[in-house]
Amino acid sequence: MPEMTTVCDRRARRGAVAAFAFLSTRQTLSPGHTVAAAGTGEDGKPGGVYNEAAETVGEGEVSVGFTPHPGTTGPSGIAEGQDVQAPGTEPWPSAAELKAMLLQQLRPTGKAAKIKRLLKAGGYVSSFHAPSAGTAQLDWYQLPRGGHLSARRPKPVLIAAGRVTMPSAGSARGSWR
Amino acid sequence: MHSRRVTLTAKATFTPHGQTAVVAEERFTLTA
Repeated sequence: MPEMTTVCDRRARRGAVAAFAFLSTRQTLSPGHTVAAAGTGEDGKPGGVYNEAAETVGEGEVSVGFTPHPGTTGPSGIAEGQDVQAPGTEPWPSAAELKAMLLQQLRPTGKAAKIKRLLKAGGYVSSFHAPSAGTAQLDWYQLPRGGHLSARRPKPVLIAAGRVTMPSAGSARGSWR
Repeated sequence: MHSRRVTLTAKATFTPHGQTAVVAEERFTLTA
């Protein structure tokens, strides 16, 4: 029987049953496939491993069962509805944690953040730290008096923009021009 | 005469792989 293992999205996908839904949106699964999801419980302790077998219930529909892997139930094991994550990995950061991380890095700092240096260098180069893989986009706008970023008028003026792609958690250098 | 202070608004969007984007905004002032 073919078998696949996945790491599940923390916020959008909950539980091992959701792991199957996550996979099915990205890969074609046929009846007989087994989806394995492993992770930690809400308390951060290592959880168990669950396997799910798919079976066809109708055209275009797939039903999955939810059966804990033998020997993995317990206070720190995964229960239906809990987040799942690959064992040995850092917990996924929450939206609030990500926002706090962004706010810490929004403001340009150092001598390179002076107007004179910015004009001379033609931009601003800085390192960006992310707790997980992803893409960061940072834009600087000048707002007219009474303006707001979400308002169409008066229109915000884009001063600089930069984009950093993080293949994994860590730091990467990005430039804003 | 050049301005010695410019107040800008930074808007950062971080999109973790496979998750929804998180947006943060903050005003800051560049000085000469």
